[in-house]
Amino acid sequence: MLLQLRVDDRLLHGQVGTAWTPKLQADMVIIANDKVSNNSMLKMTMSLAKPAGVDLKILTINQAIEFLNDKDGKLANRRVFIITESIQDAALLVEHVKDLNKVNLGGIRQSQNQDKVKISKQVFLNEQEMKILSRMAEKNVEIFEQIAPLDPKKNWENIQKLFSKGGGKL
Amino acid sequence: MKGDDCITQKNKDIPYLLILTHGKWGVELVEGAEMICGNLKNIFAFPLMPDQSLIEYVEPIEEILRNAPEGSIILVDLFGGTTSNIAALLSSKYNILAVTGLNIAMLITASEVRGKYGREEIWEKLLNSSINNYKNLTELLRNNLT
Repeated sequence: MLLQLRVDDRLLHGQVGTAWTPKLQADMVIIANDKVSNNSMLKMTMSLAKPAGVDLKILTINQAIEFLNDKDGKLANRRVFIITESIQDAALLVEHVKDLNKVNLGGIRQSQNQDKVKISKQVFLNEQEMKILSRMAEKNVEIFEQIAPLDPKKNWENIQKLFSKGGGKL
Repeated sequence: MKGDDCITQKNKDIPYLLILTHGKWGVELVEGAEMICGNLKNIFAFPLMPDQSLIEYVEPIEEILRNAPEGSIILVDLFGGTTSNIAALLSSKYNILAVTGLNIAMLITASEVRGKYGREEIWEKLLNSSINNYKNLTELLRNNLT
């Protein structure tokens, strides 16, 4: 069972391993990221952060699509939590993986010289990312912003409202 | 805020302690340790803030690491957190000791032992200082009273 996909540019870190993984009762975490998967040093250091009692797989986007489509049924009894670095990567997975219909915007930070709107203290979105998310939402993917399990949750409608008024409080 | 608060005086001969924490408590921790030990030298605290990108966080740390004397140590708050992911990466790139489980006893010990022992011995001392600092006071008291 594919629990949800989280977009977080810190990938596997405290909020993900220490807070979300137990909250979701995940027993498998998939990091879908070309850069980390293709760099043995990044891959090794990231795998140190593996939460206890959980299987961790660090895959390229293409490998993740194939793995998550689960042709041989190996994931039938697993609880799978998926992490991508960007909304672009998330869109690729959502488009090509069946039964993946819940996307958590968790950590999309402001990079310099980008026209980003603040949605929460660690989620900042631009026009292009909003377009990609809109296309996902049209296909009945649940999109929500939530940093940590004990933080409040913003649904897609609220994210759109915040974005159109330029960020800040609703 | 940027993560490059240089909070103590610099001296080129003493190995550096680099403190990586979620939020600003590493800065406060150094002040706390100074209440106990007096003025500490060559300690740099790098608070990781929620809106910081990894690059913004890493750059000032690398800036300090490039000139760090042999025997410098990275002290990290949470194993498996961003601070520990980054320290692991830096530890391989700069051949520096990086450890997690930061607390005030560990910091005071690190400040005393840096540069004086090999890495394994230093880790053993840091670990022991932490373990010896964990006490169930209520239990100790009860056992002493009976």
